[in-house]
Amino acid sequence: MKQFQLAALAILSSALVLFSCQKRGNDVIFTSKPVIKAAQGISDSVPLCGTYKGHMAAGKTYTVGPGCNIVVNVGDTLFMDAGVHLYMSPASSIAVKGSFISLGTIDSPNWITVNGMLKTDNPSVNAGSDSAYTSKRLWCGINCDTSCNLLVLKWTHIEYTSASFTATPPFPSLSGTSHAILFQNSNGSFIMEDSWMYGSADEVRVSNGKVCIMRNTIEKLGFTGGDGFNCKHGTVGDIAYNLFIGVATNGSKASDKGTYSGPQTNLNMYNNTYVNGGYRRSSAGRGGSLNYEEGSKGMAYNNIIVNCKYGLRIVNNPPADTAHMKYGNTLSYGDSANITNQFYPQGYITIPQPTDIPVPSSFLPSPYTLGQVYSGASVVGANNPMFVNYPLPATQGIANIAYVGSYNFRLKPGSPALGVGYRGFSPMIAVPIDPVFGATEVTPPGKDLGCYQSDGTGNKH
Amino acid sequence: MQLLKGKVLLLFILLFTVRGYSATIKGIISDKKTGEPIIGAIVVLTGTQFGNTTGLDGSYKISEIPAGAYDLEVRFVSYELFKMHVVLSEGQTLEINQGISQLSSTLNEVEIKSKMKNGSDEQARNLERTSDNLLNIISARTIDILPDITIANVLQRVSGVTVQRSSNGEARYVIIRGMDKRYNYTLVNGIKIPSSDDKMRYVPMDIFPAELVDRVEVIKTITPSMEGDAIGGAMNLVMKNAPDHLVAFASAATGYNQTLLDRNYQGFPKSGFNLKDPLQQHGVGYSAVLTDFQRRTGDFSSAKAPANGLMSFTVGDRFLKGKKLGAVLSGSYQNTFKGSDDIFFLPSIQPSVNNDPAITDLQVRKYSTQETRTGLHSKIDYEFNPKNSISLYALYLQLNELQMRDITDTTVQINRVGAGTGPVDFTQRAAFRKQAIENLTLQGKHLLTDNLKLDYSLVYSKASMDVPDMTELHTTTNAAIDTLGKPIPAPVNFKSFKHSWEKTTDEDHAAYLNLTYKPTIAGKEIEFMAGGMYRNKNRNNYYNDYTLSSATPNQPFTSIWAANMTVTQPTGNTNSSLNYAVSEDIYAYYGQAKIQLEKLQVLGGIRVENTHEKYAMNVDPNLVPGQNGEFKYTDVLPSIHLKYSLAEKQNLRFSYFESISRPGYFEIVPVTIIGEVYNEIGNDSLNHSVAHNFDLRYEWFPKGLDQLLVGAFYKNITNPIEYELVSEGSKVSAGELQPRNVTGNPAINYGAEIVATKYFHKFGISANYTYTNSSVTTTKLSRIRDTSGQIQSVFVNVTRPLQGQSAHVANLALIYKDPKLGLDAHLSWAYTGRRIQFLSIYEGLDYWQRATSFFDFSCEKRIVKHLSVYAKVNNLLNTSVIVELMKSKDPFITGTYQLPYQTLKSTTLVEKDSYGRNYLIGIRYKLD
Repeated sequence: MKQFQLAALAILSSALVLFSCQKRGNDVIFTSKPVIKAAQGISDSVPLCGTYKGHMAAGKTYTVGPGCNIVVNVGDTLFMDAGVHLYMSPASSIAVKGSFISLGTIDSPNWITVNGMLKTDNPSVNAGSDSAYTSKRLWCGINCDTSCNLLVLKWTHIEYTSASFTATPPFPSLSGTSHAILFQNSNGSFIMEDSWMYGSADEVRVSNGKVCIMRNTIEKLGFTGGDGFNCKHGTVGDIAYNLFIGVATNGSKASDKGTYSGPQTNLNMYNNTYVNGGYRRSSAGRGGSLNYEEGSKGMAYNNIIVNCKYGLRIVNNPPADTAHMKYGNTLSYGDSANITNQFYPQGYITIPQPTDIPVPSSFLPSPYTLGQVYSGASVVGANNPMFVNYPLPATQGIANIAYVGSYNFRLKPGSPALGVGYRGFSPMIAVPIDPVFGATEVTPPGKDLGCYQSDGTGNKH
Repeated sequence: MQLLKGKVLLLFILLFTVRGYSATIKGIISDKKTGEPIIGAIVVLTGTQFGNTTGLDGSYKISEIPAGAYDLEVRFVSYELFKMHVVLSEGQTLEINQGISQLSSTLNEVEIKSKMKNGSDEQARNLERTSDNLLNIISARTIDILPDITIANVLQRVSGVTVQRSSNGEARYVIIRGMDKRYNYTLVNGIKIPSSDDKMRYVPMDIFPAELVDRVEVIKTITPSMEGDAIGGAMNLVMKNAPDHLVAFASAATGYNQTLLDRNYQGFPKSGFNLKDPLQQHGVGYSAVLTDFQRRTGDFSSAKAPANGLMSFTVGDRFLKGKKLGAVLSGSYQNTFKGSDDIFFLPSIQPSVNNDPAITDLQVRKYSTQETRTGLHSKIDYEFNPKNSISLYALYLQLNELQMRDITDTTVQINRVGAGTGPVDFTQRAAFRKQAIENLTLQGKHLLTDNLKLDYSLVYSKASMDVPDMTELHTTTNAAIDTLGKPIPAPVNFKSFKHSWEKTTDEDHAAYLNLTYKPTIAGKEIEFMAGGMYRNKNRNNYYNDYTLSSATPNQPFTSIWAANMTVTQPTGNTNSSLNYAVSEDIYAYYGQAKIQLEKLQVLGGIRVENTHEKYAMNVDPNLVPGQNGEFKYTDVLPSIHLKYSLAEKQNLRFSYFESISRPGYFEIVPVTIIGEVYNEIGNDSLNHSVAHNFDLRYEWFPKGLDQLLVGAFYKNITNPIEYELVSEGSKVSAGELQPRNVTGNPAINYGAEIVATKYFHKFGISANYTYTNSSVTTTKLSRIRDTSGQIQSVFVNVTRPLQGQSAHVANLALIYKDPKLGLDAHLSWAYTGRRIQFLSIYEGLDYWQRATSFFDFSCEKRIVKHLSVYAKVNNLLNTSVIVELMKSKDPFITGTYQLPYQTLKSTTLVEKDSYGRNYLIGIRYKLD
């Protein structure tokens, strides 16, 4: 009997060893792959819809059909030569898996816009009835895939973006609504020079990438939320000489939040002019000019901040990389105590700099704890930057003046912003310098504050 | 706690203090043949009022008897009357241990077993002892007197089992021996039940009302005849069977939740939900307008909650000549209102350098939940003759949950200049969740020859979850202070009113066939079993949402009716969300043999499972890679189970089995969907998990309901599935959560458990304790400053326990049963040691749930024959669940970023859930 037991056990245990050492393969047999359509030749005779490469010829007008995508395949490049009008239809988009290069010039700028839209630039018109944010004709923006190496926009108008998707987008979307521009390749370059953005339901998102964003005019970006340029982990470069007016939240924001590949976010933001920012964000306290947070670093000098809801915010929770932050020479102006109370936004760790205008010691309590509640009543209306054509104190509701129109934000002689710029640092120049495949001109820090220089350099609009 | 210890002690003293004068008779009454103690036998001195009933260990005691001569009688249903003459002298204690005989002496042992009352504790202990698997069983009778009204709550009483609670404090998911819910499956009468979860396979156990079951089995070792995808274990709910005589039970109860005594219940009209979304009403491509949406669920009312109402019934009998037709019908209806108040600190997705934690928001969450649980099951069986029978089983379960979640969210990372300041967001979510499980099983049993048996089951099952028109009203304000510290009044602004629709259906068609052949070879009876199963599954998931957002920036909010809104995405949002279909075919076959070699029972065999799964997303396959896919794999799963009889009532068991766990349905779909915190993406290279499981258990069933079980287990799991944040290989650079196989070292999970039950006449004590130790090594991120001064997130390997696994789990129950008085009382304590509640993708930032102790009390008293009253109190000590971050609270107790509720000694409190006590009082009618 014992033997019987042993025999049975032996059989079973050998079976056990046999089967428990079995090799298993992969569970998956297949998953579907999209059929990649080869690029077609581009023509202005029929509405565009599909995959393209090559050149949109100078001076010609092209139309993208409703809900259609212009797709640039990996390895392909699509050019817009000078003076091209590209009219987008509702919910259409540009999806860039390769490269997209728009080469407008000062004389023949390019337009990527919606044909026949009328601008509602009127301070008495509330944002809720402004077609710049709410039109049903908005399109879905320029969306770069992680494979996009190069996005170049020179002297190009980009208008009426960020519609919500109505169908599966041909690129990975971050949400149900599109961004004005999405760039997401930390090895790729995003160059935007001398261009204009006007009207968008949402922001420009740089999830990561090398950037050079210079001498642009940014109006009416973001409806009830969104920053002008919201840069996350892995973004390095320069944001300089831009005029931001009426952005929903910040004009430019740096954060090291996000993916772990790519370098620490490092952005220089200098010589920008921020006007009337931060008023359309429904939630309180999200910023109104420029912002560094969550481990980001960089330099912020020579900026003018006028009637924005908040001044430069250095965020503490989680903190910006304060050990590697340098900033100063900021001119802040406010029409009311609500604004001047937030020159150094309450609850943050922006260190007031003696080079700032107004001089911090002239109005902050002593001792001053970073982020404390203080009264800025004494500097209301002080240090008017003296714009060529923009009344200060503002005569109408600043929240609705989110456009340039006939205003002129150059500085008059005698402006306190003249000649006080800090020039002791260099631009980062993270992108190639090239008339076509890179930045044409990287403007170094200026001697005047703000985006317009009295010597004619800086913003050329 | 201290107070409770005192009370317990007092209870002990009362139970054991016996006043002593005159004479006493005591002893144990048992079955003459089996020696099993008999519970509830009546021992009386005829012609006097002196008498008693036997307790849980068969013992009785009659005291204070004046000296004299008496006739002692022992009576018990279906047993022969026993009579004896006794003479007692003053102060004497006479011990009479007596065996009594069954009325019919021809019953063989098998029939005695079947005579054990279904749903009784005796039956449960007996099954545990004689089963081929390692089991723990809770009987219907125990469930009656447990304080629990759902099966999920009952399951936490089983050794090695812990539960995960839903937002209203109700136990929902089950962790067996530290193995997450994904590693376990649920059976009803041995048939697997589909899940109503939108992504996963596990079944929410709170859909099962406790009253419908005859017993609950937690099966910890798997034999070849069982489906092989359980690594933790399987839960088998055995529903009530047709009895052999008329049986009728009914109960009705009412109750209240303490939280809702203390505050109002927030409600909204159920008719405020549109059951179909605009696309379902008007077709694909429809552009929704404001009038397509109702606003009534954004208009909340606040009032005292009505009382809870619970009802259940069971009737069953056998009919026709020879009682060939049996039928049983059971129903349960539970309508309960619950409130729970939670505090939750939202972690920043990304910490500061050195992984210093950052908190972004403080949320105060108030839930008001109405749960309506309806269960109905019936079984009809027909016995053609003793060799052939068929049965038809039907089950319908429905859980409707109406829930209002009211969150006040203070952002603590923005504009905070001290306690009580910062932007404040209010979100009020109204949800109506309808879950249902249906099962229809036709079963046949045929004895083909004397030693060849065939049984089969044909099964249709469907699980569904429908969440129509869930709405979330979002408003916002700012709590700022001026230089004098006085609040600056700020308006409440309207942000959005979101509507979403989700529906999951999961349908199974299955067939099972088993052949049992019992030849006698070399004088030994050998049992050969072979069989197979096939199951075809089709599941669908639909999701769509619309955001009605403020038509103007900074719009002051007065009421939802006055809100000026626009539909931001009029065509809906079905592209980047959970819209997918899955079909799965599983066919399996097995062979096993069982032989009894003197004292050793050997059961061994092999099971083969083939899995073939296909999915398709509702997106354009030419735009989205991985829009559809196919998976196929085969597992050969050997197992061996040895049971050695050490002595008459002592077993030593050893088991080895190989088992698997399949990834969740959505986990293999490599398409990004938008998540609440992170976007999520499935993983088409995910492989199913495989485990080698070893079990050793010593069992001793000394007498009656007493038992002692001591065991140990070891599990080695290859390809366990854990979630990690990824960006490479996926397309969205912000990073996405993805399920991944842990490669390299397999996960190890081992432990030991002990179950002990001992009855002392009317008093019983039942305890179990499980120690579990698991470890798995996964990559996490660590945020550091590198040598060049750059801040970076780098990968580190972190070894940790499996999520949800507690090292120490214990249950203790003090039971008092007086059959004469018809009084049952039950005080139970469930202890769950600390465990990981929320996994951070960063090193050192996991959220740990502190050890919890829940005390529950219940009692039942018979008032007249067949009728009794009962009361249940859950969460006697009003225990809260506390979750902590294992980091110093110092940065959060002073200054600008000080956080409230930091009551822990040194760590940071990040969550506190308070559910309140629940009271229930009811009446029960029982005819059996």
